[in-house]
Amino acid sequence: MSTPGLAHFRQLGGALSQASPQQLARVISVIDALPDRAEADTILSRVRPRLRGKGFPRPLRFVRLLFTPLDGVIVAPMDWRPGMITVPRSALAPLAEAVHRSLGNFAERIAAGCNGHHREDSATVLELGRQLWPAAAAALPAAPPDGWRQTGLADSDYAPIRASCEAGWRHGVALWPALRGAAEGPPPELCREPLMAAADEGLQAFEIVLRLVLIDAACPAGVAALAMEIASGGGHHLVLAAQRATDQALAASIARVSAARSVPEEDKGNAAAAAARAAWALIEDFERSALVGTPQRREKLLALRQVADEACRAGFSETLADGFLTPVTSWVRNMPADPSLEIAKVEEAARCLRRIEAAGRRLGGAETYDRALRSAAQTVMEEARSGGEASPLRRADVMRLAEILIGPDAAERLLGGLRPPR
Amino acid sequence: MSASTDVQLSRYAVEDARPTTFLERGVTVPFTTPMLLGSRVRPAQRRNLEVAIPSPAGVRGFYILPLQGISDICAPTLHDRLMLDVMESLSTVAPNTILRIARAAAQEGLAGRAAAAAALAAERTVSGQKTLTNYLLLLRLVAQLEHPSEGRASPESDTPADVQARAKRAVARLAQSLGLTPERVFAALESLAEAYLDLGLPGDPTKARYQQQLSQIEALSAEAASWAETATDAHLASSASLISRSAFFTLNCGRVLLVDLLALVDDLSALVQRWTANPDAILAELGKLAWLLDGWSIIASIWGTAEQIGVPAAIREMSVMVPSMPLEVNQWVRGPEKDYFAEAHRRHSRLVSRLEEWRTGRVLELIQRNEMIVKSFV
Repeated sequence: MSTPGLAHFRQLGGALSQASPQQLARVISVIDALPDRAEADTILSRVRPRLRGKGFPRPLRFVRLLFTPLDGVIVAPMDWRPGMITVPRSALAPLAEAVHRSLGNFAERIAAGCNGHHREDSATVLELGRQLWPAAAAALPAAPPDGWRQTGLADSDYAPIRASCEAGWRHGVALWPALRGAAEGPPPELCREPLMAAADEGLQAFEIVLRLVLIDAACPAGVAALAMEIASGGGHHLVLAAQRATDQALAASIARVSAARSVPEEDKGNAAAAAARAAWALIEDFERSALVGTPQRREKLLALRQVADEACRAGFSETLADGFLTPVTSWVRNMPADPSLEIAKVEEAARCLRRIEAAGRRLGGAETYDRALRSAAQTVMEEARSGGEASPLRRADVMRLAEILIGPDAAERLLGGLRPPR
Repeated sequence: MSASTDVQLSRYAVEDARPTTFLERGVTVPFTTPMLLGSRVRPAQRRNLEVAIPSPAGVRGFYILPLQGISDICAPTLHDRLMLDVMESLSTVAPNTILRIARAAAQEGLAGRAAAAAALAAERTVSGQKTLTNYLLLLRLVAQLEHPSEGRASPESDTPADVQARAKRAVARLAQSLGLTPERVFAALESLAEAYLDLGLPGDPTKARYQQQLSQIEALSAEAASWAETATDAHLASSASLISRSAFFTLNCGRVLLVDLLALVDDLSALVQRWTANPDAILAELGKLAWLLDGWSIIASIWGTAEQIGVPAAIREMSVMVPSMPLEVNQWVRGPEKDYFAEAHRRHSRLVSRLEEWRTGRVLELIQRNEMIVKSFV
């Protein structure tokens, strides 16, 4: 049932999901300063996917440090169901309190060590985490702690949630390099040790560690293949877990590529280019993998290609229209106050177009991209020609823009040579 | 291949592949095409230039080809086409020639408006710097030629009108002692001011190009060394260490050379006499520092913009560009130990692989980065 308060929070959360990165950063800094943030967390739940990897500086607190290795499996309470290996966000506060109480002065020292640091300060996180996580893995009580009921979770939910947290904390230090290296794959050599240790421990640990390694992985298929190799020596139940993780990784990839389209960004061109590149890296990774041999996974891969193709086309069209053509065609009417700055912005948009095109053409529609880029270069040339003195575009600017869009050979042909024809 | 064949082939291994002269090493050109960055041009046998491209296929070694052949192996940027156009008419080359061409090309705007503005600003600064250097030389001449018994205040603290009169007297004295006309001496001092422009004078070191470069190299050497200490990848640590040690060696040679060259202005009578007899010899002498430091400003710029492509990629790229020190340096510089450099470079050059980034779809980022390098080069 929705109370008026909850409805209000949802409304705020909805507004926040449309906020620019700068506005979002300001709101987060206010929320982070609140003494009790339970309600504010409801507002943030809508924008959490955007916060991941965006580098918003978040103050390091005991709770945040404690759950850092588990970040990838923490979900909104409404998305959690019994039987899942994930951890509902509403459980964090009572679990953290229980750990804090159990560790006493040691926890106080760790909390004091967090002061003045940010979550992004990875050296501090590792230094403190190295002490806290192994200790926390043995600190939770056998029965649900105080405050558990207020979370809306049943007593029977406590044991599996506790087991997930303990597995994450036990392997947190070994996992750290793989979590930090997610954007680079992560490389298999960083994943092998934590996966093998978790496999030795049992199914739940293996599942949770594998999920954590896969959550932000730029190349999840490589990790899944390694997990399969490790699981094959540990029994059928581990193999099944690795297969489930592969399916989840494919489904999550589709969701990730889809979600990147609807994110409002200040710098749309660069965001679209980064999303296109990441989408192509995912596809390339899965296509290289022997794991997607089954018809079901081939189908999911096709769906991923399709979503990525659509995302690339949409990102390309938006960047072309908003970042490139709109400013270029408006200059004749409104000479920019700082032409060099505006031209630099349009050049950046042109580079973004090329980056999106580089990923997009491999998903299909190469000719469409080529035609659009040629036409954009032609537009720049015509704008400069028709604008004459009223246009800020000099011949060198036109040549550079054409070069970025269609390459140096085609640009030289389009402009009739390096130097103006006599 | 059998063991005996290995032994036979090893007899033909080149033990010291260092170039004999700096001219043979060539001059680095600030190309913006990723594949061409760090390439050096040098005179070829047929009165034109050839280019040595470092590690074009990602393996050890240089690819040497005529300038005109560049478009056969890559599609140069429009900026580079302009540079190549101008260089094609040259039969020989020196660092200052390339600097002049780079400034002119950058002003055309094909490396971006920022590089064009930097090139224009550099030219304006040169003109102001020339006047200042000429003035400083005149002050030195006054201080050197006025007898202490004349009891005059130091020229630096005198009024402009008095300084002018004292300078005229000093020039007249020098002209008389050398058997030259005062106009000839004035002209010689003007030319010397131009020749000292990039070296600077002992009293005005801050704006001089090569003194600034020495400071950059010093910082680069320290930073690369500290990066090497904390690097986890042994290969990269070795590359960073090579960069640091090579920079340090170049810095030491550069400092020795600078002291020698600045010492020449301590006896302006002798310098003017030498200049009027053989200006080319003085120019060649003063040009040594430019030859020695050639290539390092690009390496320092890559380091300065390392975050753009990632520090490991920058280290790989820089390590391939570390200039070999020609044997000629032994005649130019006395003092710094040289052999370790040759050994380190030879050992390292078996390991390096260059810049995968331009083969992996990051060409646009690299061109943009290279345009920033052009901006600081000019």
